[in-house]
Amino acid sequence: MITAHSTLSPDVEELIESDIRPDRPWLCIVWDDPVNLMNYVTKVFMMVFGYPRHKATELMLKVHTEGKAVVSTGTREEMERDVAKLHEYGLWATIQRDDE
Amino acid sequence: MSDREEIERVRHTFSSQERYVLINLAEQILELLGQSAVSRDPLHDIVGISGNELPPDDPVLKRLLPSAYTELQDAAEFRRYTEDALRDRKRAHAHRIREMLLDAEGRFETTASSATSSSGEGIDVGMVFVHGEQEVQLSALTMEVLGEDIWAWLGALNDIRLALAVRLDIGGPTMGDLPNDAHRAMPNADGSGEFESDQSSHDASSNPANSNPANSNQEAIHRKYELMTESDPMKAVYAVYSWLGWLQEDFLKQMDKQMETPEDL
Repeated sequence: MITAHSTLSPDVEELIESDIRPDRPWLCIVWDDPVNLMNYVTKVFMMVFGYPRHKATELMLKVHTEGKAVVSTGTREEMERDVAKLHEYGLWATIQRDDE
Repeated sequence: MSDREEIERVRHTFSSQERYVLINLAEQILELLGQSAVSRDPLHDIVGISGNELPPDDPVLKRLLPSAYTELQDAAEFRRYTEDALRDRKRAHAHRIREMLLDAEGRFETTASSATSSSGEGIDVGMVFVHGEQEVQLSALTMEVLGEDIWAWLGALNDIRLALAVRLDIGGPTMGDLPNDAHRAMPNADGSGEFESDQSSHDASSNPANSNPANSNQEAIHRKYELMTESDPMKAVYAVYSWLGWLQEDFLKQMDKQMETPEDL
């Protein structure tokens, strides 16, 4: 009998592996700022990250109600680009290493 | 922005007074962002390094140029290499809106006699103000903002609102401080847990169980300025702050409308 394991192509195994241990050790966090309009924050997320409206709105609400939210993950360089863009439009963002 | 097929457009009519106020605020932002905390080295200018490592002392600048890391060394390094570029991009936004507000050529300039102020308070007779060495005649202006310019407007309006909010004490004295506060706390040898422990000393804003105090304070702030006497200059500042929020919202709503019905354009 063929085991489940051997039916997976190396490509798929690699995909699963990267799903479990994604090589995304850095986070971009946006902090709540009562000055920034909710609609504006949503629009900035859509513009900077290309997120669809529902995802951008969800993240905005998380920032608003919880005080902060992880808005993107990736390499340190990618996060630095994201933060620079968010700062340009007046959002309060920081970068930190994913501790998990 | 540039990769959109449809060119977004936003229209807005400014009264002469509104133009005047906004031109002045944009110029204040330009001036503020032009100030550098350390003496500038021409070599640094060439390679785009500011030399600034610490957050600005000015509370407004601190709000406009926040730290990107909670860890002191990383924040300093990032700031040294990027702060000048951030100042330049913010200045470019403010410069653009100032330019468009000053520009009286061709942009749907309405005549002083026929224009009414956006507040509907009758005829806008226009105004003359001294700008540098010259007199500038301002009348009401309906302008159309296209494409990338919309984001220059949104960014600049937001910067001005952030600056006014500091003066109005909206968000409280710790606003904008949280990441920087980690600088004051002695970092742990391994740097772990530094951010969280600092956070807990502030308020419950990271705790979903509590509503964010910054948000619930909004109504109290609004009431405070509503109750102020007309003679209090801060009441006027708050009125401008509120108006700019309304203006920003108007831009956003017009953008939303276009996204919903692109076929109508």
